[in-house]
Amino acid sequence: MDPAVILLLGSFLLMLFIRIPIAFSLGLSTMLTALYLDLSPMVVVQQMVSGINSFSLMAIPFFIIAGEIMGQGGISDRLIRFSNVIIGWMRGGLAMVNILASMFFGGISGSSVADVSSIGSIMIPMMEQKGYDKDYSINVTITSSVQGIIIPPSHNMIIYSLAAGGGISVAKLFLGGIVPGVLLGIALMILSYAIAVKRDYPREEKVSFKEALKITRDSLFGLFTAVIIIGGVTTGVFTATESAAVAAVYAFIITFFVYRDIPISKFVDILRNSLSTLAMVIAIIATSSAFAWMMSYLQVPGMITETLLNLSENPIIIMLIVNLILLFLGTIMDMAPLILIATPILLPVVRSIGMDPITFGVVMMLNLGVGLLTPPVGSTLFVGCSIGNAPIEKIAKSLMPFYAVLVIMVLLLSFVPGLTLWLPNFLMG
Amino acid sequence: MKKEKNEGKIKSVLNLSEQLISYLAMIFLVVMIIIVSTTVFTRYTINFTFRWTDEVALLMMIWFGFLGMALGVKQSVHLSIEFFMSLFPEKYQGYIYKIENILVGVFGWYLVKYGWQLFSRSITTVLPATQWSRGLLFIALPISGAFILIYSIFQFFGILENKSSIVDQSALEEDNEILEEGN
Amino acid sequence: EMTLRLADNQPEGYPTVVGAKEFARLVEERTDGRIEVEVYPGGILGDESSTIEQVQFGAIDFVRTSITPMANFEPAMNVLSLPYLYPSEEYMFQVLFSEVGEGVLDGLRDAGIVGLTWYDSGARSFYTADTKVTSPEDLEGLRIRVQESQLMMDMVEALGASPTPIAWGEVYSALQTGVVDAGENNYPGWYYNSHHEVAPNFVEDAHNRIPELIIMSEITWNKLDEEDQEIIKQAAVDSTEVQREAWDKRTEEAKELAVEEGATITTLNAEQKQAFQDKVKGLYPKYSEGYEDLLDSILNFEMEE
Ligand code: NA
Ligand code: NA
Repeated sequence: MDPAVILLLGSFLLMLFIRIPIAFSLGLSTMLTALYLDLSPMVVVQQMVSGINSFSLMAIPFFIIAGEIMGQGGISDRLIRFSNVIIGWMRGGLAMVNILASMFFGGISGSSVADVSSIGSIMIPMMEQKGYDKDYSINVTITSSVQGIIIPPSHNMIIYSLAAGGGISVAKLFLGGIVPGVLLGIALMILSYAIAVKRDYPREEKVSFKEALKITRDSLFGLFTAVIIIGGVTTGVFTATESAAVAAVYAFIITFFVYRDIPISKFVDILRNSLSTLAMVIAIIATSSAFAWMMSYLQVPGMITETLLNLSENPIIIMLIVNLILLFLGTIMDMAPLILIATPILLPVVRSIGMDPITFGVVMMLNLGVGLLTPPVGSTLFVGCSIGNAPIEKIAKSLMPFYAVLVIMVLLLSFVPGLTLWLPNFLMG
Repeated sequence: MKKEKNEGKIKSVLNLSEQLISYLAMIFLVVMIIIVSTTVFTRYTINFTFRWTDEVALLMMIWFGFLGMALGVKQSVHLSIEFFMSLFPEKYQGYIYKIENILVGVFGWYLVKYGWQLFSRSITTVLPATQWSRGLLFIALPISGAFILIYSIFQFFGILENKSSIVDQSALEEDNEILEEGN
Repeated sequence: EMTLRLADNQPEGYPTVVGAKEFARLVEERTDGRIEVEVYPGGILGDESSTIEQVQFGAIDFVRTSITPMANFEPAMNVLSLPYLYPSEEYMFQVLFSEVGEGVLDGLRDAGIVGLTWYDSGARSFYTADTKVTSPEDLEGLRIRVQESQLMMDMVEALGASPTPIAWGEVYSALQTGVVDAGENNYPGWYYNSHHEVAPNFVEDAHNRIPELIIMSEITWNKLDEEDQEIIKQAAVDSTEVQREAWDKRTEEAKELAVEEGATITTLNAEQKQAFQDKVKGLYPKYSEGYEDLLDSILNFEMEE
């Protein structure tokens, strides 16, 4: 193996091991490798800037601020009371709300990180306040956010279609993601419910009809945030990033001029809180982008793929290997660069064993989505842990049953093509 | 006596710099939101989009990101994997934090040196919409790098505390309890 | 004994990548394997402006890029992409491979860049979601997605529409939901990004031909002896033929498939085209300021048979 690859991955893992912050471990191992290769050292800092220089990414700070305002300013409280009216009679009701919210909202944002930043900043504190365990709240939030990648619209599907060299209909890909996305939501709901029953989470007391009406009326302004985001993006009023900014402005107005539970001077505290979450999230995005550049430069993904594909000729085993490759690559790299790298290599392979490119697209998104939930490089997991203020390795450990559900979904989609193909074929022929 | 007094002075200067950075970062954040939401507003009210909005908002995003990175070092909020080191005996923990200070300092130095180089060579090219210097994309790198370097030097000599070394243990125990209850 | 790296933001199999691979093959063959060129497609080493910067500080050796981002280094590039500048594709390539084109490439030296050769990326035209377009009046008031380029925005504005810069990856959704009413690109760009599904009306106004080019890092260039420099330059120029063939094939394919899948293509007669041209002629003075000689030499170029 190329000594530079060993240096890159080895120094990264070593630094992680001795508790160097992830962002700096990623950055320093890349810097070290650049120096070893006698590459212009500027490329590392340049890639750190490129990593942040993305309009879609701006949705993350906006959603986090909107979430913080809603959380501290009383909108979330009202939403909790409202969701209790709807689903509080059930054990783990808030988990169901969380998953449903991701099905709708995450579908819109198309990014699981944005989904976790927005829904997580509201739901995780909300769930803790209601007596759910921290690990459970984070697990439900981050796993359900994977729905956002496969439920349309998803910009990653567009990247996939592009990487496949075109000829794959984006509309069909979008339609292909709906059934699997909803199925995933249902599977996660069943798991969450089972855990909720086992851990004996409280159910809420029933409220009177009159009380319910009052709570609903009181929460209308808060609910309208969702209408702005979902309605705005689906009708083409604005893009996902713009919807995040508008949602933040809207939450600001409702909090400080309508509900007025807290004085406007609190706004600085709200910003300060968002700042520390964002500081770590953005640092990791910046340095992981430099790290990913170095991996591409050293052609690591191609190497891994080639080695693994030389192992068998049996279609089922190839399919399993392809899934393994994607899962594995997903744990060490972020989505967009991976889609671009892996699609041209793997698509011909799966086509040769008769898999439809639409099915493969959805399977790939789900695989990479799982990768976002696993250390050492998993932005969704990191964001979830930083919002929930919990150690990564603990959460990763407690995620096991959720990983199991996701892996079962991956296998189901890989071997039952009807799940991805039925809807697009039914609607588009 | 005198040494302590000097340390106190240094500490208050550094705390002041932290305040300044965080206010600057907050201002960028608020302006980004205002720019992007105003774009939506003008697009629908007067059917007009300013050309520079995305570019300026992104520029602020980059500045904001790198200022935040330095702030994260001062406040020790950056995310790390605690697990392996928590298995080590207490008496070695201090050394590990010193190593962290050195490595993070090296990272800061790298940002200063090569961020500055990148800034100087891109200063004459322009950004497409605003026609501002492309160097603006990179100016935050040496600045943020310098603060990261300074903060980690003073953390190394114990003048600034590495907060993660203080809160760690209790937070870990608390989390353990929560998890055990949960399981 | 030497490995050089070429970045392309298009995926494997795309005509520019086909051209780049041909270039790599020629270099290896003509240096008896002394110099190997590795092609990194799919934008895995960064987007265009990022990889151009990498070439400038020598982290990578070549980039295949459009000329649009190059205008930030060499304003003469703007002149080459003026709307309705070349009467035909053949005319354009003769200009580019004459002293006129070489002069523009030389202008990149100040930015630490060696220009090697020109590639084809066809002609860009408008495509709309609903409106059928045959005259500039039909474009009036439409929100048209453009690249982040002053020239393109000015052109769309001159045609009476409102230019809306949107990141490339978001164009499909933007067209589908109506954030924009139209886009503009060449045939493969339209079809292979599935934009024909959401904007099926293509009007072949061919408003501009924006050639692409292969550039090299001056740092790498200076490491080579004169003989190898010669080989690399010639290999790049020779690869253009293969690239242009691949481009034409791709364009035909895109047109056929798009029509097969229900899109419509409108061609314009000379008179209709003239109406578009008249609207944008006002941009010429602004964008050729300081480069009037260059503009004249392109407009008055004598084509060889
Ligand atoms: Na989505
Ligand atoms: Na969720």
